[in-house]
Amino acid sequence: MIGLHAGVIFASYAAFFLAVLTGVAFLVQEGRLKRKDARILAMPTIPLDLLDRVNFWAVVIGFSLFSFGILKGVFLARENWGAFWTWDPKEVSSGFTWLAYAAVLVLRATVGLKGRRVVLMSVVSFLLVMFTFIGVNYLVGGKHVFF
Amino acid sequence: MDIGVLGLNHRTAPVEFRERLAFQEDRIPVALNAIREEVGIPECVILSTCNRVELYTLLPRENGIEEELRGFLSRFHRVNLKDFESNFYSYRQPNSVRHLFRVAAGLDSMVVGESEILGQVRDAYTQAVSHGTVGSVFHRFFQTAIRIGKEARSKTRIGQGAVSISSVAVELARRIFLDFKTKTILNLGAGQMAESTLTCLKEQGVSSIIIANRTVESAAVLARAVGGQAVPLSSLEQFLAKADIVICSTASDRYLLSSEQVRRVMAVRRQRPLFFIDISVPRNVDPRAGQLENVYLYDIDDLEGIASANLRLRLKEADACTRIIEEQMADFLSRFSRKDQPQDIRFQEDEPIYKEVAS
Repeated sequence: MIGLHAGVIFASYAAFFLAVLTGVAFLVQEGRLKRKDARILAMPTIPLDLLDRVNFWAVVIGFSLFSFGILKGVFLARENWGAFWTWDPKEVSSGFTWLAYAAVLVLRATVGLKGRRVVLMSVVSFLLVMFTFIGVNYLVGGKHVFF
Repeated sequence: MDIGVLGLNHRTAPVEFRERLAFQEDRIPVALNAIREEVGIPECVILSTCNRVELYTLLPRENGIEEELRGFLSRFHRVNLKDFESNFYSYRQPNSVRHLFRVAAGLDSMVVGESEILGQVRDAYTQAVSHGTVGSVFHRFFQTAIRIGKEARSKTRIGQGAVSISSVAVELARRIFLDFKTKTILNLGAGQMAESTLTCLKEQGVSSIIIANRTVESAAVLARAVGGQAVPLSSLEQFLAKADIVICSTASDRYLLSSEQVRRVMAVRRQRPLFFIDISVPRNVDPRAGQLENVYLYDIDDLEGIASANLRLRLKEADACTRIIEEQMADFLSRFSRKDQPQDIRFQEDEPIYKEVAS
C-alpha cells in the first residue's frame, strides 16, 4: 500500500516536471516574442499555444495523481500513525504544494488565465515539489523516512 | 562556339523597361523558334521573370551575331534599343557561365537566396527543351546550374531566414499558433499592402478570413480575391473577439484600436493569444496594447528589422556560395573545352543526361 502511495506521488512529480520543461520553453520563447528578439526565428521552436496546452495538461494530470496519492497517504496515516493528518513535515509541505497547483488550475478555469503568469506559477510551484520530495527529508526530518 | 548571355535585370534596368522586354510565357516558343531560324543560333534558352530578361545562347566565336540578337529583341518587342544600350549586359565565357550559376544560386536576385528563381530557371530550361533549342551543351549547362542552385541552398544558409515582411509575419505566427486551420484572420483595411501577408497566411492553411474596412465595397473586393467575409469597420470589437491574427493596413491617421479596447477584447476572448501585424504607417494599434499579456504586436519597423537582420545573415553566406560556384565552373568549363570543336561540339556523355530532363 505504501508502494502505491509513493508510486502515484512519484508519477505526479514526473508530470509536474513536464510542466516545468514546457513552462520554461514557453517563458523563454514568449519573452523573445515580446521583446521582438530576432533570435526567435533563428531556430525551430514549438508554438506557444501548444506549449501552453501541454503545460496545462501536465498540471492537470500531476494534480490528479498528487491528490490521489495524498488521499492514499491520509488513509495510510490513519492505519499506521493513528490519525488522518498528523502534521508530519512532509504532510504540511504536501499541503502547500497541493494548494499551489490548485491555484494554477483555479486561475486557468475561472479567470481563463493563459500564458505567462500561470505558466510561471506552474514552474515556480515545482520548488515546493522539490522541497516536499527531497528537502523535507534532509532539512526537516519527520516520519516519512524513505521519501 | 561560346556560351553567351545577353540580358538585363533589376539592377541594370528600371521596371518600365524590363516589362517592355519581358517575354509572355505563350510567346516564348515563337521567340525561341525565331532565334534559331532567323538569327541562326543552335542552342538558346530564354529566362524571363519580373526581375530579369536573359537570352542564353550558344554563339560562334566571331562577332556580329550578338548584334543580330539585339536586332531580334528590338523587332520582337517593337522597342528601339538604341536608347537603352547601357541597360544591357552581355557576357561571354567564362562570365556567362558564372552568371547563370549565380542566378540559379540566388546570388543575383533582388532578395538574395530566394528560391523562386531556381524554379524559373528550371522552367525556362524545360520550355526550351520541349521546343528543341537545347542541345548537349545547354543540357549540361542548365542541369549543372540547377544542381548548383540546389546545392547552394542545401549546403549554405543562403536561402534561410524570412526576409520579407509577409514571410517574417508568417514565421512569427508559427511561433504562436500550432494549427492554422482553426484560426481566424481579421484584416483591417482593404489595401494591397496586406494582401501578400494574407495570401501567405492562407497558404499555411488559414480558412477563416474577415475583411473589415470603412467602405464595405472595397472590403468585398478583397474578400472575393482571398475568399473571406467582408464586414464594416464599426463592429470591430465583435470580430476582434473571434480573430487570432489581425493584420492592420488602413490609412487611418490615428489609432483604430486603443490599449483599453484590446484589453476588453482579451477578457472576452478568455486570454487566447492575439497576434497583431500592424503594417500601417501611421500605426493603427496603440503600441501599449503590445504589453498586454498574450498580445503580440509587431509593427512595420519590427518586421523590417527582423527581415533585414535575416538578409544580412544570408549575405554572409554569399562567399560560401561563390566557392561552390567556382568549383563547379572549373569542372564544367574543363568538360566543355575538351570536346569543343567549331562544328560539332559534344560533351562526353558519360551520364544519360537527356533522361533528367523535366524531372
